[in-house]
Amino acid sequence: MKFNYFVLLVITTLVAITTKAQQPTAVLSGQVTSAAGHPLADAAVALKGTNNGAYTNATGKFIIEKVKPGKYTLVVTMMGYTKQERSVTIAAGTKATENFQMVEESVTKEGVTVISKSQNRQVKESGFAVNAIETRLLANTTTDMNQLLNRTTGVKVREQGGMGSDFNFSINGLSGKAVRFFIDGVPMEVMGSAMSLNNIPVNLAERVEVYKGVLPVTLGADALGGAVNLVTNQQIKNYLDASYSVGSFNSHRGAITGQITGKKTGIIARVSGFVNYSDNDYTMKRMKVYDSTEKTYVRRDVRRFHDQYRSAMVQAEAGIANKKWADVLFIGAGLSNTGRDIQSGTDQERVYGAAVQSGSAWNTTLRYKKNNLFTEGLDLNVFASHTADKSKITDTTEVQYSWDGSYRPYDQAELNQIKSINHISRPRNYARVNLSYKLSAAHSFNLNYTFDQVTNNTYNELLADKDDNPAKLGKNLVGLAYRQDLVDGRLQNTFFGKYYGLNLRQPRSVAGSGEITSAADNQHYFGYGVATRYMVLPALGVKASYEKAYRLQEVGEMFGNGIDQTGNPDLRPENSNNFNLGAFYNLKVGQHRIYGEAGAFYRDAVDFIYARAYQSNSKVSRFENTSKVQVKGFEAEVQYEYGDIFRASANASYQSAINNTKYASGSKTGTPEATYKNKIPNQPWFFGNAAASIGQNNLFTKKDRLQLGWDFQYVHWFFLTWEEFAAASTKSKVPTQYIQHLAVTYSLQDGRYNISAECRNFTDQRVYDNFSLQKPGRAFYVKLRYFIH
Amino acid sequence: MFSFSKKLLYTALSVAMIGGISSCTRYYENDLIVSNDGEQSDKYAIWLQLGSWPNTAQYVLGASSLSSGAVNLKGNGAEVTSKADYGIIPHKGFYYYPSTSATTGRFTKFQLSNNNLGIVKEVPFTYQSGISGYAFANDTTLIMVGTNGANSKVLCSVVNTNTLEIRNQELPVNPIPVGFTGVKTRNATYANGRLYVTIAYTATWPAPEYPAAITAIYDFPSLTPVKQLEDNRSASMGQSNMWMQGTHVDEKGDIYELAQPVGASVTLPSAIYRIRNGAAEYDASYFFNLNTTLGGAAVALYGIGYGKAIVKYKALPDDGTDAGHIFGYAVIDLPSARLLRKLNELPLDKGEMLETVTRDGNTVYIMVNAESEKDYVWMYDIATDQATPGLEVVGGYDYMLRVDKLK
Repeated sequence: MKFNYFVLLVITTLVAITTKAQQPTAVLSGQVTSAAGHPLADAAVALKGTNNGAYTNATGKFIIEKVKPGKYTLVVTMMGYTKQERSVTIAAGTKATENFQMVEESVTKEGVTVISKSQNRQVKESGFAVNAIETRLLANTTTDMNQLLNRTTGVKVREQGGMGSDFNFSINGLSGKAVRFFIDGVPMEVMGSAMSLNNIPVNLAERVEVYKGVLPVTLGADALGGAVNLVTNQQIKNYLDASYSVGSFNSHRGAITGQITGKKTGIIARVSGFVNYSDNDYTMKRMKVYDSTEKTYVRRDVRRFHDQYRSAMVQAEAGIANKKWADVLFIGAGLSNTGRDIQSGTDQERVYGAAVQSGSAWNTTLRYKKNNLFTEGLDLNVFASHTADKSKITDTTEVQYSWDGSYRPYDQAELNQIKSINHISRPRNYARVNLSYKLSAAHSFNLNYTFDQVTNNTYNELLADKDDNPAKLGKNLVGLAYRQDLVDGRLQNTFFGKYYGLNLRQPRSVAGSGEITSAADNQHYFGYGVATRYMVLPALGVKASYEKAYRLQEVGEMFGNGIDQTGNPDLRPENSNNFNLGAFYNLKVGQHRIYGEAGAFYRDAVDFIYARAYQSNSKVSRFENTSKVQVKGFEAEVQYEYGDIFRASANASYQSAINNTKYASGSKTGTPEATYKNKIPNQPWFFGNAAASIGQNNLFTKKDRLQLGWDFQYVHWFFLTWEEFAAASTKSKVPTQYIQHLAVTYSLQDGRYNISAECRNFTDQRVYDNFSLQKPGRAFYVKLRYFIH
Repeated sequence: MFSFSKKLLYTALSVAMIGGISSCTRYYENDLIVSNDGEQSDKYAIWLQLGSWPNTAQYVLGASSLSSGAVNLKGNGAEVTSKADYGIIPHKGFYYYPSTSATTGRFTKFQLSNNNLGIVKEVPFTYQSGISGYAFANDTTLIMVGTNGANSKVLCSVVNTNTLEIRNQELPVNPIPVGFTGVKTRNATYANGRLYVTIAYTATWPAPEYPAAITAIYDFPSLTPVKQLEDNRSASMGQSNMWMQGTHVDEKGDIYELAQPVGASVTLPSAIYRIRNGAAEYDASYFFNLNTTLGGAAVALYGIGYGKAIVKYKALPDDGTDAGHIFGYAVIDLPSARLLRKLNELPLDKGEMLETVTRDGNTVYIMVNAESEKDYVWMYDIATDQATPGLEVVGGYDYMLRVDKLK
């Protein structure tokens, strides 16, 4: 079996690595700080001429074990600082200490310096195509994660309405199930379905990473198009960030995240949570309503009347850190709850006034981390969880609503033909084990295993009291990466392979013949890739990456639902060859800092899975591998900062998605489809963002700050359907969007107390992400935030 | 402290931002109202669908002639996505759209002219959302039948096509037989003051429907029931959707109805039944088994006058999907229940649930979506029994949905 060979390879590799490392020697440790005495994290410390070395941790400390006795030159390098070399003599069985104070590269020598590397920059300067966004810049605004990410290159979030609405998240032109979401490397679904990018306040994460097309093995998932990873504050020190905002449409958002350590017990407790509420009763402009006096349809401005949204989440964990047997051990639990009225369908022609959706979830988690397990450089990271996630869609009203709030009797329910109270229950077991091993400063390995099992129970309470054929989906994903840091760290290569094991089970399935059988299937796939980066100059790097990526089949797609979808045992996973090329430049001259990055990408995706009518004279469908898409594009961003006074950034993304489906489904020959090689419609293909902020410290009192921020989004208009076809005057378009936001923030005591006022969409544009689905117009918010760290 | 110059700077910045960009964007609103004059309508129309799901789009293309030349959709035709779809009723220069697929709760009268499907009149219509058949009692009286969402009631709406005033009424049918879950209407046919509604009793898929060919007869306009006919030699009388034809009233007033059993387990043949003019019974002497006649099941019936009809049938085995090019056309004689000939000069067609045949005088237009050859609207001359290619539809469109004579 292929899997066994793979496991054997992994074990052999690990054994080889571990064996090699087990040689008796001395220990060399120390700390690296800046000239000002601040610890420098992630400086590379190496023994010249050997493969031995280490990186400094967050406190600037490093430890190099297994050093053979002898004379060495110790080399410390860090981008933006002058390289330091020092001769050291190591005696057998000793513990030597060497501290370094790094000096910023001289301005007079080269005319430039680059700033020291934050974790954010390290991610940006890896070989992967990634947007790394620090959330602190927007921490005083009412921004949620979607709004934050929508401003970055290559990402387009298309929301259907206001707070809590459904959305489609695309990365470099691939969207839907092609994009996966994580929190600290764990799939977001583990937190329950209430947890979603459209309601997580920006304060809950420290930074966000958007991986495009190529994923590191640490994010274990079948992500065809990319992934978003929210990284929360993982520092040991105590902090509290609490905020509350209120604004238009009766919108309220509260968020809290914090950590406290018991002085005596050393027990650390962490909590994060949020509440969101909005009536979303914004004005819909020029809507079609029937005037019964005039006996005709007229256009009027109306308010949304059935779009209330609420969500709440709390996640808490407690544990210990820095013990001999555990660097981190936490157990945790979380609860979430959500509810929302459903106002419209996929376009605003369909209006609902009674259908509602609600959900709740709880989870338990376990987190364990041990660095230098058994041997120096071998780090173990374990996460396990169980989630119970339930939701309900109630659609029991046989009336049809109009935008003026009036309704008429209807011969069917609002959303579906028949009345329904649909229950969806998805218990999930998830585990992740990550082993990383740093053989030397130049060579490191990472082995990641994830187990993800979810059972899908769906039934209509009005017809049944349970799901007769609950689908169970199990995924075993293994990834192995080997990373090289060569040429004094200037060249970084990551090679990786991924194994996707898929186990599908359904007690009952309906075959085309009408037979009822039990269904089970196992599938195996292999993916692989490479990411490389080379620093041409201290300030200039180039990068490239590739992955053969998959999006695995789901149970319903393979087996049907037994009601109106039949199974397709021949279904293959969606898969894609993803390529990225990029470059970045980082320059600091005095108070001026310029950062620029640009990238190009190519995606060749095939076997997209869609439901198709199965037997044409019945309303039965079957999932098939129907279409192929090729996406090419490029994106660029520039940022400028002048100290902490002024900051500006601008970016633009262009993507050309082409239909690569040559023949209609069911044919392999004949006349090519009319749309073959045509641009995929209904997708933004050119969009950009700009932002500027200006701030002044010590304005009215010491340690205060006043900041003005402006944000601008542009989306070029696009056709709803195929560009080439039909007379131009009849073609539906999603118009060009110019959306601007303004914010002013006043902070006291070094950012401990903050008050912000914000005006979103201040030119009151009619905003559309999707055809005929208006988003909110001008809106005002005030936010109060308390932040201590 | 906050100096005056700084205040000025901040104020200036704020004003500059607010005044930055004016709103001059144009928004889509599909309210192109046209006058109520059927004379302006295009003579013929072709409906096409392009693209793979989810990027499928439908278009309607007006044409002055279907007998020669070529058309394509490059910069031509009207896009109808989000406005209408091919579940639409053509009649004397207008289209009537009950938004059955779109479920927008509106009934719209459109006119197609100059690449524009313009709204003539529009009214709320929420009485039924599952219309499967329609018939015209006269030029201004449109009858639409369907079932409610729960498939428990048969519903009928009678529309004045000038004023769009609508009379709604439930039609009584025999109770749902034991073991079956619902009732579905199929075609509606109007003849001599009576409305003939073909229906089927359904079970939970994939169990087959109740094995009988059923017609419910009502007096019109009173819509009082006359009788419900049932015969078990075939099943699933008529068509399941309003965009296919399955019944025909000939010059003598006799009604011919195609029964075409559906579902994986069905073994009954497709067949044509007859109801004599004024009778309320199937003609016991008449049962035209099309499976044995054609070698494959018939899926649609189009009367063309002179006692003849075109049937669309499965010329090759069905692979279980609707994607295959397996459909042939044949000319039959209805009164004598005879096959006249198969139109073998036409390439095999794709797509079952499509309105691909229309008649204008002595010419029958058959739109064929060929797999490898060119796509034509073929012309069948009833008098000479000749079929020749007419208008070429250039572009290799995925689905050729319907061809209509509008006036």
